[in-house]
Amino acid sequence: MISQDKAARLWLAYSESLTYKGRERLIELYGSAIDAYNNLSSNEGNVIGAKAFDELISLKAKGLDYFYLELEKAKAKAVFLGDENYPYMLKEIQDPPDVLFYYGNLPGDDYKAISIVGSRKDTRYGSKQAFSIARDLSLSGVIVVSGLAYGIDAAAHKGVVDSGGKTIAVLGSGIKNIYPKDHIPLAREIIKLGGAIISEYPLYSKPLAYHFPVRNRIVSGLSHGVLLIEAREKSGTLITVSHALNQGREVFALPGQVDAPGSLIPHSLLRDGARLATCADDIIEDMGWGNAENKADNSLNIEELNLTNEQGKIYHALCVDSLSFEELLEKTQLSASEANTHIVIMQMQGIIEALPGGMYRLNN
Amino acid sequence: MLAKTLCYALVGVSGVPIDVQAYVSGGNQFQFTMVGLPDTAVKESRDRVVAAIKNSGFAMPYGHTTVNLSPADVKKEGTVFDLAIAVAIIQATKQIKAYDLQDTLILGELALDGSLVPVQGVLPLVISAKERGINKVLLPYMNAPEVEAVMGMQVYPARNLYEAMQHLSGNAPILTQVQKTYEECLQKQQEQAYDLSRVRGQQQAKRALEVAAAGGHNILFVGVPGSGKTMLARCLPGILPQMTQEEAFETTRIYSAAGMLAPGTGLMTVRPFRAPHHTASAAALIGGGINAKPGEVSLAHNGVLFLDEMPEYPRRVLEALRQPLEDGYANVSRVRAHARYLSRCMLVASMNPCLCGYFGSRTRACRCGSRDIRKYLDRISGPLLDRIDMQIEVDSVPVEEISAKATGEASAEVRVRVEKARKIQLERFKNTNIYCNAQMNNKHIEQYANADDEAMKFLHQAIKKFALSMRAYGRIIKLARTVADLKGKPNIELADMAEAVQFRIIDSKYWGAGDDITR
Repeated sequence: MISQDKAARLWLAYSESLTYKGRERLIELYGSAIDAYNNLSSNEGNVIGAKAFDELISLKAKGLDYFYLELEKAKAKAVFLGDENYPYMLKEIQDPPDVLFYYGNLPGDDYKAISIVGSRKDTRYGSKQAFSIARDLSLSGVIVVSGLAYGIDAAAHKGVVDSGGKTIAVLGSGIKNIYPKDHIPLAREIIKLGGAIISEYPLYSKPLAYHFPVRNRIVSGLSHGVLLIEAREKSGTLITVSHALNQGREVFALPGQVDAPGSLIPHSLLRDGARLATCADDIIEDMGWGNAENKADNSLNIEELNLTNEQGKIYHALCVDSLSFEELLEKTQLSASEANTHIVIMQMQGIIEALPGGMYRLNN
Repeated sequence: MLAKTLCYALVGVSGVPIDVQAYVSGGNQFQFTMVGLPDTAVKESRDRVVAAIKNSGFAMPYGHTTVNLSPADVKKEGTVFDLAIAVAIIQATKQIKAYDLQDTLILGELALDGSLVPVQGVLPLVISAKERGINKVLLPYMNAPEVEAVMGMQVYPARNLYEAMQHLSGNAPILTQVQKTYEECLQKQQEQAYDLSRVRGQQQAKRALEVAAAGGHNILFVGVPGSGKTMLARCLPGILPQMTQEEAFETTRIYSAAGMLAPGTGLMTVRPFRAPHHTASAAALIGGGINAKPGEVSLAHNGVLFLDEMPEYPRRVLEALRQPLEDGYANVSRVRAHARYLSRCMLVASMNPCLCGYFGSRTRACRCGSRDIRKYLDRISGPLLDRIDMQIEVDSVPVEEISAKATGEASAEVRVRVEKARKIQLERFKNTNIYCNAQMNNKHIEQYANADDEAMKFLHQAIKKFALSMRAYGRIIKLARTVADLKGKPNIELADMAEAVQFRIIDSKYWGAGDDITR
């Protein structure tokens, strides 16, 4: 059983139309949530808006126990501002949510977290980087925070899931109404691995458009820094970045191809002083979480590889740059049939990699 | 006052015998009825026959004329019965004494002036008749070349009803058409508008095309706009091997039944190249219509079915292709007709890698999100993709480099190698009913593949590494067999298997069974 005051705070949190400001005014007027619950007078319609007032009245009719029982029924958990396990980074922001609903486990009292945000319309380059940076961060013990959306968000979560680490997904809908639905299996995976699905909205709340910009303050608020990977104009990710700046979080950006549509915003951020991140180690080093000296030595030694004469030619041709099939033939003077054969054999051995567009490069 | 003649009706790509019976009874009123399930065109033949008889110097009898097309339960369509009906009526009124009416197949449409007009489906009708022991056929002059290579058939080409009657009565017999052997029928290969020597660079795609042509494999070209996918596909007819006699008969039969053989042309010896537009319906591709006509996939039998911009075809249409591609025939069932058409064609398809077309391009950035790309690629379903033996990326050659690239071999040179490889296959499959490696089923693979242990071990590793399906497994072995045949080797060696794998793995790169981080 929870205290009467907390139950009343749940009551306030269950209201869809009560704004952050409106809730603050109520607490200011009545002193505490439970007092507001007991003494709510009809004058307050002017203060918090008629819609919110009507909603609070109808919620009140369900009784104080209803909210707690509803949570138990959904097997969901709630954490209150001021609780010991309330994420310590989030406490510090200007407008921390009073109640957070969640599944899974919240991070411990001394966690390190980076949020990775970016376009829902990602390119393969962007999602690949998001995936591998998130995975490497997770392997270094950093919690990755993101929004469970399509594109970069999902790639980041999947990177962490791949490493078996912890990640936090902050939703713009209720945690019983995961959006987008395609990512329900991913959410399940996240919880299974000890991460969390978090929302400040009531359990069954819909993914309304205006939720997302507000939700973004939690994404940046939970973490120590924000990494931006690909953003198109008018992107919601820019809102996350401005939240991060207001909250005093470090901002990182991943560079992209200059003429790619998702690169404009990250590049202009970089010019404005964001930190350049090309890998997880860049971030870890800049955050002062350890030095990146333990980088693995990936350089291949050709003497160690057991290559035939033809394969050696291919290897040497690719040492300089990635090449198309046509260029490979030109440099190696092999026939198309020979090149086909050896390219596959070298791919099987993991020496070279085939890229979309018929390009080949050495695997690093 | 009763006479019978023999005609055949077309059902699918074969004929069934139809007895044309004419009975004329006395009376002084002119009456003419036709029974035996005739369709509209056959009913109209009444008017044509009457005019043709009168205009050929014969008389239409007074009294009640009844024509019966027996058996009555076979649906008759078209105009092929005209001549047989006219002959039966003339015979029944004893205006002329004809012989051999029961042993002679009589085909042809009559014009009002009594001249003979060519009809559809002559080749399948004649072949079916021959299988039933009929060895004489009287048909329109223009249809005669179609059957000139049918061995053991005496063909009498007639220009009009009068000539036909004179022949049947023995007054002025028509000379039998000279029979040609298949080799004599082979036309000189037509000059092709597209030649491989004009395609600069693109050596991987050219090599793939050679392998595809040699083994009859399905092939998909993926590439940015303007990379030359369509041009490459158009080069294919120039390197395909000559049709064998059996293949030529199969294909001509389908065209004849579909009424797509131009009058006066003989056996088709050049492989068909069909390129239906992407607005084509499923019925147009597979076959259909009231009379269950063959579709594009059957018209491309022993030839090429080319689908340009494959994702633009409606999904339902593409999925309908799966069964004919796999089984080599299409069963077309309609209310009035059922038919099975052979459809062993090479599927050649082309597509862009994404909606904007520039995914993977080195010259232009792609504007598509990875989810858009996946949506676009998913228009081609996995099962359909599995049935395409070879998937090739076409390299985009920058304009300034085009003139610098060396021109390659001419189609004729490539064709020599293809012919050689195909000859090996024909020898291999001489006791079966298939003609090339792509047509092998699992049993054939076991029997004929001859893969080295080392090659098989490599294949197993590749299946794992590139997450390939079991269907891909069989297809790669078939491909490797063709690669080995091109080299004239009896066994599939590791190098052959590896090259075959290379032709098969871009689907894991684009459709991404392996790394699924973008979904």
